[in-house]
Amino acid sequence: MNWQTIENILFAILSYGIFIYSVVLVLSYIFIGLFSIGETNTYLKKNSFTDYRLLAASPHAPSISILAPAFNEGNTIIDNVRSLLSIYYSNLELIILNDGSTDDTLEKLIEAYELKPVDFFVNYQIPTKKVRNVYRSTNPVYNKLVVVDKINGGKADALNVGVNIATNNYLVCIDVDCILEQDALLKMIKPFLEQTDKKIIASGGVVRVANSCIVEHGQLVKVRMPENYFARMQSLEYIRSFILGRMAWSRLNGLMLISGAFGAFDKEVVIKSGGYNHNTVGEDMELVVRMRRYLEEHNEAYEVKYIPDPLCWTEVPSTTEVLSRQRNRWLRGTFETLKMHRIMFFNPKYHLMGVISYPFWFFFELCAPLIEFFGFMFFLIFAVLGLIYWDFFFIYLVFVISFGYLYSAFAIYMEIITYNQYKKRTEVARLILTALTEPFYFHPLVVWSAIKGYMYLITKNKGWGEMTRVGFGKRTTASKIAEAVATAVAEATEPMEKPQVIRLTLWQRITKLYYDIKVRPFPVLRAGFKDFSRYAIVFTLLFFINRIFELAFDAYKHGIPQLFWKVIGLSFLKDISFILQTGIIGFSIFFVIYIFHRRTARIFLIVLSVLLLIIQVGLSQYFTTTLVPLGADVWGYSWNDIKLTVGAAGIKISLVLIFVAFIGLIIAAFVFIPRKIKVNNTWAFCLFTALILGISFDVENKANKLLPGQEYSNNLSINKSYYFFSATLDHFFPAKVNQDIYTDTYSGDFNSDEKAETGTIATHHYIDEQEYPFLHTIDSSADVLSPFFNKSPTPPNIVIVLVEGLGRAFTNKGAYLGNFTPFIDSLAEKSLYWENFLSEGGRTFAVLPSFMGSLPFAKNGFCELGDRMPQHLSLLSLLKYNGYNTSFNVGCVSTFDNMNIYLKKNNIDVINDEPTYPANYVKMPASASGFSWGYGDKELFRRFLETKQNPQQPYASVVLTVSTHSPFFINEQDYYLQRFEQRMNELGFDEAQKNEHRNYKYQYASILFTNDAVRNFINEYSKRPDFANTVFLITGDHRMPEIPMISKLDRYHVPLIIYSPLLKRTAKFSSVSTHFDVTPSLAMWLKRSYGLQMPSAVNWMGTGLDTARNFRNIHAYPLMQTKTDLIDFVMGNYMINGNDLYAINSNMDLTRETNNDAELLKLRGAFDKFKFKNNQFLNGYKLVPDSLIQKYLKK
Amino acid sequence: MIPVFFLQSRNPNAFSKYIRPEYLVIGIEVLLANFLVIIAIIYLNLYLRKRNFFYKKEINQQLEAWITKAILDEPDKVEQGFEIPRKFNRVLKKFNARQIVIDELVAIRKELTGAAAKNIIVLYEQLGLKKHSLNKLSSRKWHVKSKGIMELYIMDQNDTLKRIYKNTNSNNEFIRMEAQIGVIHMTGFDGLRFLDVVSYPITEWQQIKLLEQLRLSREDGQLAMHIPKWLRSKNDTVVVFTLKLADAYQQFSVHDEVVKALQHPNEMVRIQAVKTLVRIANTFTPQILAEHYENEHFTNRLNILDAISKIGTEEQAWFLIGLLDDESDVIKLKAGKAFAACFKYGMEALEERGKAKKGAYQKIYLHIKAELGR
Repeated sequence: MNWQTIENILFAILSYGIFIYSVVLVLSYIFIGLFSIGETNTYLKKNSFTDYRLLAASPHAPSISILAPAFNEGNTIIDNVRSLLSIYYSNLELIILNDGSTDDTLEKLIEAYELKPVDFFVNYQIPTKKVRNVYRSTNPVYNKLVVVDKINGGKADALNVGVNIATNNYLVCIDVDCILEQDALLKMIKPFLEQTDKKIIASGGVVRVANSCIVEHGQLVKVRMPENYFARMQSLEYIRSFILGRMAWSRLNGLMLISGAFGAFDKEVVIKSGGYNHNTVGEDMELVVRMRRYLEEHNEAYEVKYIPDPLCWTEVPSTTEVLSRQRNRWLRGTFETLKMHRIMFFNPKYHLMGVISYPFWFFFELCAPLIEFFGFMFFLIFAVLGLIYWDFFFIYLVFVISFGYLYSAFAIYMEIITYNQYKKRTEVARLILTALTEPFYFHPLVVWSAIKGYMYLITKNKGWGEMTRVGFGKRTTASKIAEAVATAVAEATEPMEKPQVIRLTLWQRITKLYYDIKVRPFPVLRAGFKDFSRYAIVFTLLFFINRIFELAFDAYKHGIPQLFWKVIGLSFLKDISFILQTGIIGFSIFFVIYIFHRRTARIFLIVLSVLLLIIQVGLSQYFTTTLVPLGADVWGYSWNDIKLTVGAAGIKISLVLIFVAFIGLIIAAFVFIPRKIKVNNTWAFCLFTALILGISFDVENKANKLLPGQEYSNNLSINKSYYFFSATLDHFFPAKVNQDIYTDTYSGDFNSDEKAETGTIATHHYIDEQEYPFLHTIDSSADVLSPFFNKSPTPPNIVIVLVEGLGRAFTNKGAYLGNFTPFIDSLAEKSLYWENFLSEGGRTFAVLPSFMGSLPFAKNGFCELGDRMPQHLSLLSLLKYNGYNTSFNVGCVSTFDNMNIYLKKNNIDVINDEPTYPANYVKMPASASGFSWGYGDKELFRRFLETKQNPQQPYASVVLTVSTHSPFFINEQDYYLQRFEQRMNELGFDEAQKNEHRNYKYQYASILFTNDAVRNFINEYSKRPDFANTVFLITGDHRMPEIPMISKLDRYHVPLIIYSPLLKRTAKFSSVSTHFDVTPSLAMWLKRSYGLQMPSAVNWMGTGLDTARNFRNIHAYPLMQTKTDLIDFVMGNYMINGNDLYAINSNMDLTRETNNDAELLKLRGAFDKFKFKNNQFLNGYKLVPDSLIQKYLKK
Repeated sequence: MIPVFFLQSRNPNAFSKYIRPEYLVIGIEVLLANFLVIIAIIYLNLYLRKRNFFYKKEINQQLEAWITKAILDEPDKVEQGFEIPRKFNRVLKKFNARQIVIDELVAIRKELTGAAAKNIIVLYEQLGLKKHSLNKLSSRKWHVKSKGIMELYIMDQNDTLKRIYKNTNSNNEFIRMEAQIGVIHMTGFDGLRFLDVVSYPITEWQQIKLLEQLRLSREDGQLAMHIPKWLRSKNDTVVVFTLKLADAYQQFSVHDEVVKALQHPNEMVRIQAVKTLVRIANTFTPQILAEHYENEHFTNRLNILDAISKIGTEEQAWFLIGLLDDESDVIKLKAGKAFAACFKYGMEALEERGKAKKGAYQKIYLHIKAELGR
């Protein structure tokens, strides 16, 4: 199974996953609707036979305990309790649980209801905070009332006290501020009396929205539609949830939640399952789930009943803040509950609960906000990248919204035909209108609140370190904080008041900072470093995991690299070096923040670490795909270039999802793992020492000396982040180019006249370096081609074929990867063939200016100057001047790399690019987003051959191919994959070689495809009359980096073939020339042989092709690897890459020279000289005088 | 040209394979059409509700005159019947109108007894509504049938007793429940004979309804005769209900049968047996309960202690003292309460114990003291 298959499977799983999720969600809602109709219908019919009054008065009715917790309800408690006491039921006990109110709640109760403390033995069957006192009324009228005063412990704790104190078998838990319907209790308790074979463990009622309703003396007098938008929206939400959702779940016996505002429970089961859990904010849901789980685990048949009548009215939040907090809390409650009972997830042991209810809650309640949120994020990303199919998007959006509207309308309809609380037509209309606004305002708010709930879950700090007791606010110093914390921790073991979180004021923080720094700097540093270390350990581990994955993935994809063990060893050393360097910077910033605010410091560290890891993983991924590390070149591309390239590849949803999941995992790792790591003083000391020693030892430089040597292995082992960040730093803050001619490193002209070891370095005669840094004379000595050509009566046609990625590594005889271009090779034998030829750029951006104009690179390549490209003399413009018809032919768009601007500057006659292709041409296969680079090479040449030429006029045509560009999609892919296998057999590869090559089969297949395209082209051309008078130049724009390279020079190593029926003889040259040299030689040949008018002074970088048969290099040129990486320079038999010097061997291999400072200085000086001139040019110096431009370009 | 890295894909966009835009457009049309239809139905419903409300009000206004007459007049005056205008007879031909009238009469009948009730029944019969109710009795829909039964028994249509009685063991719980209430409504305690045959459970709710219905009937001395038989019923809920009957009607004569029920395998039966025994206790009962204590589960143990606190004697003192050291605080508390209640010097003994042992005992003692003092 290859990676592609895995990708396809992953993609399929994710697409199907999303599809199934949507379908299941929609179906669930449809089922909920249908189930609700059935259940509501049955309930209403049953209800018509029920006379609840019977139950209220009967002595046989069961006794009930009502539990009502109250916290700081002083303003309303008297009315609320009166309302509860007026409940129509004879066998009743009302327990008011004063949860340590800090206001006058208790005092008011004592006074109003004539309460007296009584001796009461509290049986703590469920552990709770202490009960201070139990009160009963001395007035017999209130003999149902019991008031419990307890230490504050939260709602769950208060209810547990109620459970412990209640004397009856049925418990009804209500919020004290709820308004109950007259018969609410009777309806709620009835299901318990109807149980037969199944035990009824709980029943829940409907909660409706009381906002804007008229309430008098604790009784609901008139129901009215809420005036407030949020409250109205929640009315609709409650209708949907209670009338549809819970009704349906009730039919399935799958209810997991009974509203905390009003629910009845079987006391025995509550106690057996442990009562309310005070470790969650969703204690109501948690209790129901736990009770159900308890009975499932004890194999007892049970039911949770639901009463659809409106029983209880409550005020809902009417501001965004309160609503947001409420939803935030609900989300956390759900999360905590589901987490506590995760054992039930898809666990058939828990029957319906485990297989349907729990997963439904998990996927459609808990995950829904996340999915919606990330969905929206993806949408934004896709929108920014221009990958949204807007038509489809809007249709889909409208579909989803329409479904939501229908569901809401159906819920309103169900409400109307059942309980019809809102009777006025205008009220119903308002409700419908409110529903229409939901997707645009209310729903996003709810989703965002849930996301905040998630964020709270991720960032919450459970430790006591951030908590202080009430009354501590006046203390300021750290020691006192520590003391307070210690006390708090000690008290935590005893039942105590709920500690309240208070924040230190800015002044307190500043005072604390002063104290920390001044009085006890070392302990603070130690504490800070310990905290930092916990995150640093996780960071290091994740970095190493990424490295292991990178090496493994690379080995899987590209085979075991050369010098494997060296690579592994150095990889980890390089990673450690990076971690140490970022560690010291990270710690410095962290510590500064830490002394001000610890939590912020931790969040900073998490954010920084996550970012660094994401970048590292991205860069690793980039490397394993492109086989070269990403440097500052990314900054050299325009946004359009990136969009085009990314669009060409297509963004796969699966990958985006994996990416998001991956980020989630990293964040989770940083949030949760450090809490588990304990760093004691010894460890902290060791780590700190290691950090300091590591930095002083300069691991990075030491490691550099251990580089394996082979280019690909070197690149594999470096830390990609280190490389990227240092390149970026150099890019934005470049070192000043040395302009001081008196320094030791200065060695004169980069085209120095000094003797190289194996020959003379060709030089230019500059005319006026102060004004025109590159302008020099040119004479016939550059013409080296005349001896090889017969002279035709008219100037020959020139056809230049620039083949994308055509490297010598796999082209022509002697290719170290094997010759995968048999036709091009056979052509070379009939041609002038330079086997050690170099491109000027490591990517396509450099080829046109270098080959056609022999131009310097400017800042990010000549073409990147865009409209600011200065006028210059090039082969194209000069041929045009001499009567040639010029054209440029490419299968993709010519706007890429600003090629069109460049060509127009050269007065090109015709540009045949992708948009100009007629309909009968077939594009290359499209990527996921439907994008294709354009037309493949066979179509490109077909188009070229079908273009009519004027027989009276000579022509110069440039053809740039594209099929051999990543992602290597070609038509006839299967055929060429077979052809690739066949070619390996022809080359006599053994199985090991074959397997190694198969890692790049798409690359090789595309090369064979292009080889065939060139063959067809030449064959077809040979049938044309103009063939006889045509000169073909074939070269690569750079060597394809997607197959591993062996040296820094390999990337530029391409063939040059000059083929023509006009050739007198063939020849193979081993001397080194570059793209820079073509224009001067061709121009001088044509001038000399055909009398074309050429200027005597030009701006060309090249001195002309070298036709020496033996290996030598008489040139001194810079080479630009990427749009931002100008670090390579060749001169004579040496090359420098950054600060490293290499000797160039006759087979173009490099040997590192570590002790040849003289050559290093020479090359560096020459390189600096070039950079100096290049800077001059960038600063506005002209390439050629206006007079020349006037003459040759403004014809 | 910049390279493509992690975004390569040879897949066409897969999502469009599943959802085609044109299908979605059809979906949107269907959804929005349904949305509009539902809105229309909502408003139609609101309109119909309003119309029905006034229709009902109109009918009830017409009924009101006769109802007032029925309530106020003596039966002999209404024997010759009410004067029903022809117009109203035409109204009654409509199903809905008939049901509105029946509902109103049933509601009023429930509130009345004696002569006024009889007059309502006369009106019901005169308006020919019995036929309507009888039709319902033949319905296959459970809620219609139940309603028919209810109307017939409320209106004392005793000639339908046989048909109603047949439904006391119906497999539909609502038909069954209405029929059971119906036969008791019509025949009082005699109606309980359905207990001989009923095979479906009688829920606690139904038991309460039956007991409430029985309260309206004259007590029948035959109850004691039937109870032993029902206590042997295979239907556990019949046994529980019978125990409640024995309790409610203080059937001392069945004491021994109730004691036997303490051995019943169903805990609900045993719990009710303990409660019933309190009401029909004799001198042996407390000791029987004390001896049964060990055989019971926790819940019923508490019931036994509650029972002993009500009917216990000094004979159970040692049994209770033993429980004062039980590991459960609830048992300690209940036993203490019973001890204090049935032993002359119980309170003092507990106080001593509280002082000696402190902790929970002290609090238990104070709790009992406070509770008994109330």
